[in-house]
Amino acid sequence: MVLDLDACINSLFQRQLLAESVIKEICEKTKELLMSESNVVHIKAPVTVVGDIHGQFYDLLEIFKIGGYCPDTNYLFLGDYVDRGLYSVETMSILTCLKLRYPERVQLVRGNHESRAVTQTYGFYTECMKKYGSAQVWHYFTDLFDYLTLSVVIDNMIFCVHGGLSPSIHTIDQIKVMDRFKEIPHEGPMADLVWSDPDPGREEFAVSPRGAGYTFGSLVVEKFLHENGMDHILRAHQLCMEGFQVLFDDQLSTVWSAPNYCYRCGNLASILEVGVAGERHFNVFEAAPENERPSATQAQRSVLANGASAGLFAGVGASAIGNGANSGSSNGSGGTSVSSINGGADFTQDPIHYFL
Amino acid sequence: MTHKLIKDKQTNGIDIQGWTVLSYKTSILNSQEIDAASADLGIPIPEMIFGNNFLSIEHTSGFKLEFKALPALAMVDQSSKSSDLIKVSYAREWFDKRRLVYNQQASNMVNQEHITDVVKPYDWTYTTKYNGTNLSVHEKMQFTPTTTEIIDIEQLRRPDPILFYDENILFEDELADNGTAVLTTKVRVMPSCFLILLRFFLRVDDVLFRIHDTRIYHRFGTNAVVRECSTRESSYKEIRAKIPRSNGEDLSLLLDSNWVSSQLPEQSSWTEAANLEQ
Repeated sequence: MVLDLDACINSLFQRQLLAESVIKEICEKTKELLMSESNVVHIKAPVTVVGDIHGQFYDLLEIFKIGGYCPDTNYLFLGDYVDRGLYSVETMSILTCLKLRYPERVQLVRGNHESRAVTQTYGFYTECMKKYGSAQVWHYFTDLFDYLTLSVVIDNMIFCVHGGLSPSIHTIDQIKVMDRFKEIPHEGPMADLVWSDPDPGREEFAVSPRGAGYTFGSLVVEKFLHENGMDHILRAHQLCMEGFQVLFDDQLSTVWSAPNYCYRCGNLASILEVGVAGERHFNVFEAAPENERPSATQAQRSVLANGASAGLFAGVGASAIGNGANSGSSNGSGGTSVSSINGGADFTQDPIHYFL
Repeated sequence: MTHKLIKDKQTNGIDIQGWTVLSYKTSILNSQEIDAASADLGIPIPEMIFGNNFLSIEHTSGFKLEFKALPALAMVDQSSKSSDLIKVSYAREWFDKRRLVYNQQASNMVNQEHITDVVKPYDWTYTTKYNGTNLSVHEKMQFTPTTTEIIDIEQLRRPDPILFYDENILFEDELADNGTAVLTTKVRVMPSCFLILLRFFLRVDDVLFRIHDTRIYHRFGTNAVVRECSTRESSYKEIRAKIPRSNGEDLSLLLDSNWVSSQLPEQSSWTEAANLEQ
């Protein structure tokens, strides 16, 4: 059977999951494609840059609505496609299909969540198990993660990466010679690229107090840009209420694309449109309606996909998920008293409300 | 007994027996608020900071207790040794390899010697013993140690109707994907009493679990507000070993503070009471 990518993309836009065998084939083909990509992919503007999505599939659909569909709009995704949100499988499926269908117009950079270890804890593994009944799909996608590129350069001027800079990397050429086809290690330049954060209060690199990982300051950014003849660093990785943040005298931008993160933060999100003259425009947007009020089934899935919520929200019902400002109804009671739901409930059957 | 539920866009609560219980929820702090809070507290702010959220209880007598994120973060250890207490599981490996690379490339690493710089020490796990902010108007309404007042567990075990229930997250940080530190409140109000649980839950992957619980209990018609605090802690390995084998590779139980709490040994606990009488 011949793989019909357009049909796959269509059914994903219709919110339908792909069959396990189809995912296997798509992942295999995409790996072959990614294998020939450099650790630094050079592209040209115009391009629309997307930050963390974290399984918020409905918000990704909103992004296409706002930013345009493929292949009319070129897209650069900066990683963290999975975990936390309820639809990591759908998100990875559609991004993989789009990459395979339009390899020159869609770029997928690796984020720190594109890792076996991290997805085992933060939701993607559990979601695959619940939606496919086995860990196969998780294996296909996490194997694919090892092939994702680490960085993109737009018009030789803008360096794009998920996290930030590394003290062991001074030039783009040093990234090009790295061996990236592996699980993200705990230390070294590959880890730094997906992990590190800017620190506006500093000039140099500093070691995080947790004992691993770096923050980088203004001089580091300046030196890196100067050495490589570029003028801007573009990264994701950090949640911010406004959906974007510009630091270091306009030399570094953070773009965050998961609105109302975790269905409770109430934050805005943005995509960054880079024009042919290098001009940058943040297109800021709010959560999709589906994000704001997950249905009862979604709430149930959230319990399955995100154990952190399980202890907090299980059994409370849909509206309890929304803690953020965007959620009008943030208490399980709705218009009626909770007692009407739980009156006379068996204590052992409802440990959430009857916590001790 | 009559009660009145309070509900608007961001506030939920209940008026009952001279008490007002309010839970306010809004978005995370914006950049300006974060910069101000960070400068004020002297530490980086957790990734998800619901700095304006609060749970408060207020009695007509003037007793008032509030739970908020920033006062809780003000109690995070910032002493010079505070960041040495717990390191992520791979910190040793990370440090050793880093030193090795520098030694090998010492000649062209000269301009990087300053990376011995560590961000100003603070307890990056955000461990806090915060147990509420007492805003009572009368001095006598402070909490003092008690041996006579206790939380009536039997009463709380009864399946009495819950007139009001709410959960509120004050802050949450994933410790750069090395675990979770989260501070939450829960409250339930029954016809005869109410119970609040303020919980600090910490998981550092492959290192440890820690829970600091504060429970506030009041039986309507009495003068005592009881506060019970406890600390629990155990190694990650011990708790992970308690996951049923049937769960396979699924570690999501470790994210469930209720389950972890049921497995964690108590290290210390103490009980206090405040008097509503002037």
